[in-house]
Amino acid sequence: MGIRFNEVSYGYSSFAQGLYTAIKDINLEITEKNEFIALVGHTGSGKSTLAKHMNALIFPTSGTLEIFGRTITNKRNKKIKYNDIRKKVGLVFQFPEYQLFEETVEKDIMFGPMNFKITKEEAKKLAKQSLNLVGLDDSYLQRNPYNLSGGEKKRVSIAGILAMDPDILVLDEPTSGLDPAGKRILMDLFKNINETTGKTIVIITHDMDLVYQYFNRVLVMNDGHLVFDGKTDALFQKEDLIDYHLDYPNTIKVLKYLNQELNLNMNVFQKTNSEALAEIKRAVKL
Amino acid sequence: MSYIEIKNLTFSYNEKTNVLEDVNLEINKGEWIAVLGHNGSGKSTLAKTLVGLLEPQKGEISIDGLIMNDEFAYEIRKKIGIVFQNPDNQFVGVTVRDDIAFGMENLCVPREEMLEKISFYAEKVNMLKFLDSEPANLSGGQKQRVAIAGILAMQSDIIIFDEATSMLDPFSREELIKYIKTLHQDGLTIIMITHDINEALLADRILVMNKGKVYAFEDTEEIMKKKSIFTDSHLELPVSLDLANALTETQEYKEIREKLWEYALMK
Amino acid sequence: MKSIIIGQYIPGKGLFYRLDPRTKIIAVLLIMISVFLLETIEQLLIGLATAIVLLLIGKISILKVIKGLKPIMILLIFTFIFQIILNREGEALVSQQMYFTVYTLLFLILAFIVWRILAKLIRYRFTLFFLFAAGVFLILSYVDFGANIANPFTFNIYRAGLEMSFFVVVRLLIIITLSTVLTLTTKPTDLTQGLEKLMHPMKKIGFDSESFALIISISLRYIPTIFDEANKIMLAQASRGADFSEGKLKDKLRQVISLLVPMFIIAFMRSEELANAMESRNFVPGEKRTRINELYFSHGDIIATIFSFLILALAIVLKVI
Repeated sequence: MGIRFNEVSYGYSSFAQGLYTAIKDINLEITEKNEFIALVGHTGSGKSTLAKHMNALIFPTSGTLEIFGRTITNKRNKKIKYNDIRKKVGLVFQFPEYQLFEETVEKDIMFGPMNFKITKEEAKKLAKQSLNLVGLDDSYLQRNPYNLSGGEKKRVSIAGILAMDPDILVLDEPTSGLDPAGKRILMDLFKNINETTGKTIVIITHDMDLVYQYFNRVLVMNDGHLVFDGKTDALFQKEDLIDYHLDYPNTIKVLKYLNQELNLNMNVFQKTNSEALAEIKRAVKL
Repeated sequence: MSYIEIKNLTFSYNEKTNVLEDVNLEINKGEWIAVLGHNGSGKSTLAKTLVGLLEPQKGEISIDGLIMNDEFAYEIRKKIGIVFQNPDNQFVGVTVRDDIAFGMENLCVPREEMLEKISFYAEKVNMLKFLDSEPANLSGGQKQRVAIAGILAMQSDIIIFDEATSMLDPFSREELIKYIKTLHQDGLTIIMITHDINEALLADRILVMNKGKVYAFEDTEEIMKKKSIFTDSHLELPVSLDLANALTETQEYKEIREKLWEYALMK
Repeated sequence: MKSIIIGQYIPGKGLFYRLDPRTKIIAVLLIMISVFLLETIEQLLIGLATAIVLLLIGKISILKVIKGLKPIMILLIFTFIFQIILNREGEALVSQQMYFTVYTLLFLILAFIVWRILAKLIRYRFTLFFLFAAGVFLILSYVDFGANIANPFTFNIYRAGLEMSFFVVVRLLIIITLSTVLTLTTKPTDLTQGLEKLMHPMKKIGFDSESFALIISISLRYIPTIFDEANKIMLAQASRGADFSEGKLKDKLRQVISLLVPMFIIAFMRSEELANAMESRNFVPGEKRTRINELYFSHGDIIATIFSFLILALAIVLKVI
């Protein structure tokens, strides 16, 4: 089950560019349990387009997509209730302003579950649970979403999708605009959800440090193609990452610089600052 | 007298809490100042008082000898411009040309002069080919460059960037920073409010705001050596400086520390 | 969106593209007034012919304009039928005995079903509709057997009714054609500036035409942005189960609110930010400003304006005679 892309392409004609293919010949399999995947790529590489296919918000122009047993093609199939797919695969967009609309945080989080026929009482419970899960206490429930800070709005928008209890969670840049502490809180939260409930989580991000520290599997999009699908360590061991318009994590870059300038031979593949520090000390002792 | 002087500046939106409290600052002509601080520390408010969008309850701002008040606001705004965070919400014109012209139109610049300046400053920010383009067809980074051109066309020599890169993708961010560097080389005074520590490292001096007060205002290198400033402001040092600060100041680590600092200030 | 020719500017070359927007606005106004002054069918037909000739001069595709009229076809047909049925003056040009029996009803239902089925298969909607209308006419006229549900009646079309409906429809056609030509050949910003300059005298009665024009041009500039945002909001809410195509009425209301509230809030935030940006660039409402875009009159404009005045003069003369 899960999500499987078979030779999926998506194109559209726009006034400015004529026929434009956003993603080309994508073959990809995401199982519905336990996966923790980073989706990276330059702006315009097709990451968002790929994500929007995962909960059937858009349909492929060619190729087929299987989501939890349902086959999605470029034609709308009247037998399939596409809305059900949105319950199983939850997609959180980057800007909470496009999603928040209710008078209170509680009502806004309840919107999702209630669209899927959950009762009001049950939805209230889910709202409280998801809110606490993203690190906000009950005092937020009756507040107006638009009076919150950027980081708080982000968390409320994530809670809104968590409350729907999707099997697969896809998030578009959930940590952008947050301060370093906020980023860690959220990433630890997602890791925790993944490890305790077994839900598959796919996160689109530009932050290579987070990719290196939290993810085992990474998908790289480049000019609409899926050019890498494999282990994070293997990705950063490549010499030619610039061909993918990607940068290396900061620890690797700094250690490479030191090696180059001081003629050292340190193992640059350190994920955290403390690991890098230990490696430097080890190298100096020699 | 410094180019920009802020004395005892206090500002609040309601009567209760002060968003800015007794701020005293002096900024010299041609300096690049980075402004760091947690959300709500008063950075944006400070920027808005500098261009006269907000009127402080107490204190005084003077720019190039002119005091910011109703009488001189118009004159001062010719000297200082501000690029905001959302590229879309500051683009007034229907085309790039119209937008760059907007400020000059307000200053009643004659049409022929406007046309000259538009070509000149559009070229400077590499948007000459896009003069007839509409904002809907431009990227965030391009729109920010148009905003810069519009400010330069008003002959401003102080530009405030209020988190102008935070809504841009990494590539556009880098590009915009390159333009800002050339502006600084041309002698402009740059005040850059940012969350990005790497951007802050480019500055001559760093101002750290905390709860409406000036927490620290020193040379970049000095600030980077004080880890406490960063943790107090919910900020993180770049990896290279975190490592440099963690290595003891003994001889064995001297070369490495130097190289780490070199790396940090290199960008 | 592409088939909506009414109101949309399409870049091109030709006489009308080169005229000053002020000329075009004045010309359209004068010609519209003239059209309302005409009284006889012949005059109106000449008016329609003139409009077509103008299209040809301006090298504007008549086919495109006709296609652009499609959305309001229904309005035109409705107006036509309305006038015919209600207006009972003059001699009856058409007098038809009509019946309404059980079989009439049966045949009508059959015709309706056939029409709907064919409508799904064949694309010529209007032709089909006319065939259906003709069929209804024939059924009502000739199916006279069977038990009466209603008494037989006479369906009359009177001369005045026909004339009136003709007048209304042709006038509408001319006006819409003229407006279409105006918006087709004039950039929205030029149109705004033209209006602004023409409304300048209204400053004396306190109407700030410049600010008004600025409001319009800023709104125009944000139209693509707003469309884009609406799309993004719909996708975000669709991700939460708000399927904008399915759902009961109560659900639909909630869905619409989930789209409108964010749009309004984003719009408010935008206006504040934009106002700050404008003020920081020394914009003061009401103060004098120079302009980067200027409008210039040329020979063509003078000729066009004279021509429009002539048409008006002619219409007045015809009315008085």
